[in-house]
Amino acid sequence: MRQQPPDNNNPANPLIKVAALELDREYISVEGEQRLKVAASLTFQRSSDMRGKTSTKDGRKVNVTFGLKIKRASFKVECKDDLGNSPEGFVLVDKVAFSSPLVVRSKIEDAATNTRHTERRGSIGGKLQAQAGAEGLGAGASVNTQAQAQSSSTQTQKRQAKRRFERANISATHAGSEVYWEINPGSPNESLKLDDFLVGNVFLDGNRKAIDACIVRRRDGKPLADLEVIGSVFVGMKDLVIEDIEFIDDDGMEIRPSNLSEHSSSGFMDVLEFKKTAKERILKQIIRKHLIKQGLRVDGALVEICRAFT
Amino acid sequence: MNRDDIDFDWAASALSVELCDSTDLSKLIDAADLDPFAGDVSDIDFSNMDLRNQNMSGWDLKNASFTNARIANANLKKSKINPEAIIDADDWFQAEMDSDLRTNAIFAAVRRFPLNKLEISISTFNFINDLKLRTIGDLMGLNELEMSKSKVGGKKNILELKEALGPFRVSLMEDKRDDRDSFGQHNPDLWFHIKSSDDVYMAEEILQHMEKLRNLVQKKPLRRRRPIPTSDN
Repeated sequence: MRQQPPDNNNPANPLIKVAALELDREYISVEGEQRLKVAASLTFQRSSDMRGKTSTKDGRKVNVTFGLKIKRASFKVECKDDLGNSPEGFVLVDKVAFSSPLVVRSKIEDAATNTRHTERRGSIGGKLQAQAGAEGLGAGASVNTQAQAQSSSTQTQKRQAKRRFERANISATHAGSEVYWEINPGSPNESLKLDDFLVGNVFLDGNRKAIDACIVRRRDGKPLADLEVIGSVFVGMKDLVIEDIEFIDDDGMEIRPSNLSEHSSSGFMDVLEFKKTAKERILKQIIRKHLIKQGLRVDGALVEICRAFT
Repeated sequence: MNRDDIDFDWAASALSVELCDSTDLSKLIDAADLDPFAGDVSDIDFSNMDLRNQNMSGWDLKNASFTNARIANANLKKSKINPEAIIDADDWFQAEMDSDLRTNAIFAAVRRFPLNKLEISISTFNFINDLKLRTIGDLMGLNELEMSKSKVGGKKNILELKEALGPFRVSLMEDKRDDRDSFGQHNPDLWFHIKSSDDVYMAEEILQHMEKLRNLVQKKPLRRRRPIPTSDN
């Protein structure tokens, strides 16, 4: 990644503008045992101005620009010991982010939401009765005052449902000392679209709060400090989208092949379409070769686009 | 890492491809300073491309994608290609390729062939639906015992399936694995299997049969494949 010739200002990794990875470690103690918390910051974005410089055979300087975005990616974290070996069986990975594939988690809480509803009612009533007799003044009067105080306490039990949206576009699988995350575009509520691409930070929860990638334990008694954690982002060529390739010289003129018009007019559009598509696909292979020459790895049909250590 | 490796200039290669005025894929690849024989385009995305008549002989294309590509008359002889990937091309059977790749591609196409396109009765159609079988590949490794778990069919349907799968060279065969039980008794396990063959003509026959069934289904508006037998019959 760092072997860029000093006389060449083309970026060593053209994909650095669309995918950035940083790994960090923190030692924590759980029940007296030391563990390693791995924090990852993996950010994707669409770049509309990838840029490189070259020159034609006749010496004209040319700027190569194109747009680049990633439709889908996978992220792998692996642990290596101080000798560079995978310590199989001795390293355990726990609390892996996005290990749950659920789209929506519903939680119904009963006990926590018992609400005590107390109602107090008071009423004072007056009743005045007067009796008058014919014999005169003898009068009898009675006043009956009724005061009533009623107090009732009712307990209402409510069921409260909590719905928490998980990021279903990211899923994780882990075995031994390795974890793979498959990262797709889209939010849990949306179905995937053909023109979707990856954008934003991966390791965030639904509330945009940073989450740890995983927690690593070591069972062979050796110090966790000797353990190197390596993160790599891989992309298939099909998921790398290149658009709007332009070759512009220093005067702002676009450079094109000289004799495009020699093809028959009937198949002209087909030829143009073929050339456009073929050149886009070949440009991806050029970038792939460049990345491999810079020391990045190929894993089957996937090529590593960025790597980080901690 | 030597100096030559570092000096691969992606921008210069991109410009070279742009200035190459050719519709010949090998010339464009050559202009890009890519070596298709050494794996520089092993995972190239050919999906939706018109590659008819292109010469890709000897190329390493083991992880290339051919989804909906057109490759009729393309020369793929001695190329390293995944048979599962090449059958994603629209007209893959019209490309020039080695006989073993062709045979493997045909068997890959057989595994992917939908069971509902077979000439089978409604009863067997329901039987395979009940077992949640979608393609011939889903049948592979499934034995008669597992198939007889269905509540909507049985041996009669299995026999009909066997008959319908005959032209695909898919048959029930005895499992050769040592599966003796705790009493030392050998329990022959019958399971579906594609008979492997290097016979190119046989493979061509399978291909023709698949095309025939596909066309048959396209012409028929109804799902019913065969009239339900009546008591009069």
